[in-house]
Amino acid sequence: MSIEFIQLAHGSGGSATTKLLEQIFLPRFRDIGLQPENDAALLPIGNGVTLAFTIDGFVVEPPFFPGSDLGSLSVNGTINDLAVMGARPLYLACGFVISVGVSSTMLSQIATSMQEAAAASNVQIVAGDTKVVESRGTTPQIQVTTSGIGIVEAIEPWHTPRVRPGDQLILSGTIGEHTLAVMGARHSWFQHDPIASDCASLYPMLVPLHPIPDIHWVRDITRGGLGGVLNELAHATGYGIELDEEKIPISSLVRGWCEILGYDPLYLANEGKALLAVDRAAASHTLSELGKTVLGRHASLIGEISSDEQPVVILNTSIGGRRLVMAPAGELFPRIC
Amino acid sequence: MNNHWQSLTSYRSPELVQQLADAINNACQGRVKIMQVCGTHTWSYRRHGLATLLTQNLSLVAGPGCPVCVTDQGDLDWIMDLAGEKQNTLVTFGDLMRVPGSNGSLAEMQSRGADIRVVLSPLKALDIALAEPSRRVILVAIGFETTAPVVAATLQHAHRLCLTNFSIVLLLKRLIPALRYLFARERPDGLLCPGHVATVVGKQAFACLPQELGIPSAIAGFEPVDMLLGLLDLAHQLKTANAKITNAYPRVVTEQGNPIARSLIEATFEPAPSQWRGLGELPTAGYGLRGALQRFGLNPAAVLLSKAANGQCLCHLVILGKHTPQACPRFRKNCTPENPLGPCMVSEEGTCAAHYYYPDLDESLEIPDTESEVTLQLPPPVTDGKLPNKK
Ligand code: SF4
Repeated sequence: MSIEFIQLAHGSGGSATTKLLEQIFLPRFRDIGLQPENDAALLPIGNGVTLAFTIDGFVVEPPFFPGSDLGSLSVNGTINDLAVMGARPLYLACGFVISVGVSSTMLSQIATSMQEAAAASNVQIVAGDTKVVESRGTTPQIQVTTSGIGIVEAIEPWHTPRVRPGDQLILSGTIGEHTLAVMGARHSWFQHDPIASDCASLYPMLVPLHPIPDIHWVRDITRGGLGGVLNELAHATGYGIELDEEKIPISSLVRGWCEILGYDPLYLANEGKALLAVDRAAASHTLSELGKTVLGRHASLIGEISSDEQPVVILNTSIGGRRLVMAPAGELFPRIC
Repeated sequence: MNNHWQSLTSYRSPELVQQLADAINNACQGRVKIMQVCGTHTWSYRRHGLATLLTQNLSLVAGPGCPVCVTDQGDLDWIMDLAGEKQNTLVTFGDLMRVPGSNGSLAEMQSRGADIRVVLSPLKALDIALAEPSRRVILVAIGFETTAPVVAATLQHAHRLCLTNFSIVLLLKRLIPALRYLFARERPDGLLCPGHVATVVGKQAFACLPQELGIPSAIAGFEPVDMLLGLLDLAHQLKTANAKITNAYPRVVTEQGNPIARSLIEATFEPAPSQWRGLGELPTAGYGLRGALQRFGLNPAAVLLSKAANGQCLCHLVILGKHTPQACPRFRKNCTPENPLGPCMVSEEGTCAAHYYYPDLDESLEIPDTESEVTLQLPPPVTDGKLPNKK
């Protein structure tokens, strides 16, 4: 079925997004170098040096929410795309599309957050661009696009072709906070007990893993959530995945609200969580290295790549049942009752 | 919230679940067909993988308990027509956004500029009406006895505020009259009754089902242990051939229900005929507005008969437990949550969506359509020949 009009679901990171890429962009850009399966492109430049290069656009309504804002999100999001390729993020460029009516206070606040997030990660913002457009909807919006470049430091590449059966899957921390923080700010939910976004740079957590050769693959879990990333991994490798629901770290606050709102935490977005596939022999070392870092202190071994040649994700539920985990489909809408 | 969650985890205890499953499996000697009226039961059952613990003798079929799914196609088209009128702001629950109408879904209309707002509480519609007096704010009220109290509160409040730019598309439905009608023709061996409806109307409201129709009935909550307790009650009733209504959710459900919610419903609505997908017009299975509140009601008469229903969708059979989603030739092929062809594929409580997201373990998962079969290519080697082979 061909896409007629772009809808919100096409940006949700699920199979609608895949469809958009497959229908419009991949056929045109693949032949000219696009590496669609990586968070950042890997570019060998000789002498054993590989650059990681990426770009990401950010729009979020509202632009300020507990734990983070559009500014730090746009800097950390791009830093993370580089960091999960085993790279040290170095330089960023940023582009702003600002609609008429945005207050300068708001813009300054966002720029300040970007400045702070970049400084905290020792990254420089070296180029930028601004465009101002007519305001369309009811609220004036700011869109930020950031592009980043870094140098790969991991001694072996962290990417899909290295994943193999028996690899252990490690999740770096609790899931679901980011989506709920944004939804909470958007709809004025959880006012007594706000949920903060997990937005953070993953680089400091991943640095200690650079010398471990048995790290095979790392991904940050953003749109589409853990369920989305796992299904992509299964499809890209052709192997099945087995998960233990019990082992997936979810805070009780997130869990409780998901029950009420009818969300499955496996599909909620995160902005400071990574999923790793590592050789079985290196799993406990990796876990203990992660456990020493602030962001990785709740890291948990949640499952493994099975030798099953059916690329499906199977969840052993916490009550002792088994079921499949599907790829996310469409935008999240809260339910009736 | 923390404490509330902690107290719920005991209803997911693997040991308790296993004990209950064993007891049910022992009690269920012959084949039985239990209807789980409510979509939330279907979701819970599939999401926790309960089927893998229970005997194949026990088959759970869907019932007409998903508000979006039982909404008539004519009513859906009416809602979309209203959303298409420039002066209207449509206020709706999220579930309705992707339901296909004759001319696309609300989500598509929104992407083309229609003013549609998704809310968690109907009361929010009043805030919008107050804040934007030039807009005609229309609340779409779908749901059962569970949703009726808060819609009633909204209407009462709108009345107190003397709002003139607020109206309602009243599509709320009364579950028990519909079940009586449905079972007069064909009945399952047992009925798992929805705990949240019973919370409002009380255990006694369900007593007519075993008394008049002889159907063993158990009220159950939605956690795995709650559901299994309900199923165990049913298994015992079936074994002893003694149909009654039992309450397997006593921590929430009382004999008479919630008096405040019931009196709000009573003061606001009266029983009225209602169109149900798959069942047609049922005499008392809907709500009408009482007295002065009638001025908020929009009248669908002109459009109700308008457009053709969605021809090949089997939702009307799925919600009566006569068809499984897998029996529909469009399931998972051209009907998916992103491109749903019927309401059962849309809602968080829809049976087709529950089966889509939480498939049977042995189900063959077909890819929706040929165009999306293009798989992502693996990257070219990026470092000097160090890559191990994939397989
Ligand atoms: S799979 Fe789709 S078309 Fe078939 S019954 Fe369900 S909703 Fe209708």
